[in-house]
Amino acid sequence: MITLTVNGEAYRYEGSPTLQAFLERWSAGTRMVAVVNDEVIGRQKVGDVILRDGDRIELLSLAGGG
Amino acid sequence: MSVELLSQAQCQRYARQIALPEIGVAGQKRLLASKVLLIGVGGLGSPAGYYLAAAGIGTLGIIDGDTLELSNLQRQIAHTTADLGRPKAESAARTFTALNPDIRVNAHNLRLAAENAPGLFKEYDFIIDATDNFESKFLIAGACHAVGKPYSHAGILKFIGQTLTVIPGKTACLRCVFDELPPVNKAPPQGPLGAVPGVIGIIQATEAIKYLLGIGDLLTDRLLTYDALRLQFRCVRINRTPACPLCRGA
Repeated sequence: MITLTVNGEAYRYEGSPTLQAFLERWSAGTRMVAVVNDEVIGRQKVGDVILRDGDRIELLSLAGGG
Repeated sequence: MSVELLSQAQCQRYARQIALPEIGVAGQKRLLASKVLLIGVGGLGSPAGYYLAAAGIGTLGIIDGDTLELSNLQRQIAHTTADLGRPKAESAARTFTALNPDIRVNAHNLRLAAENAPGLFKEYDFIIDATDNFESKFLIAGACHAVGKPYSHAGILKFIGQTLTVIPGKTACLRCVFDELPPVNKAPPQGPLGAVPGVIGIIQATEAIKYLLGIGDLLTDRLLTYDALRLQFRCVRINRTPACPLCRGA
């Protein structure tokens, strides 16, 4: 088990998933931008990032209203 | 525009902020000599414009191509019921001028487009993105980058607001975070609660004033999100991204 901090809250997670696997499980169907340890991860790179114990993940989506 | 001395009326009108050591007479003169462009006078632009006008931003530009509809008034507080059917740019200009006749308000009753944005932006010191759609937000980020103008981005969804200040070439830009437009959502709009853009629009006005005065720490390289339901403010650190389609982290 690893502990991830997602949007400021701690979550226990099985194994060491790729960011892509995490995103698919977390935000099924919605497109969110992931910031891992202060680094914005482009969509094409989410499969390459392996999440580790202690990683901080911020999930953002662009709000369009005004 | 250069301001030599503050009039007696100006000294009284701005007395409370002149009394702040961070502002003083010199800061007030600077605000009166400054030009801020407000794009959109809806939920975000209404409160932003009120506070910029009240603070004595010498020239306030307003761009909005819409006319006022009844469903706008739940959140777009620069307008009144008597303004229904009128161009929002003109109605907001009247409101802000009535609040502070000491400032000049340039009302542009037009829609922002790639063709007119750079020319308009060049005339101003700071740009406030108070628009209500993704395309305009990307257009503003691009035009600000092209002409090197600082801007405050903001967006609202239901009970959530987000905002980011960008100094092109120096800090992370909107496109460093959001590289592509979200998928088209055809569902009818829900929200926002009117007070949510109120909170965010006022932060945008505060950022403009801080930038113009060179005081404090700007909301750069961090995206602020406000969740009204949970009453949470969160700042997410954003680094400049070499893969950014706009600034390439440069």
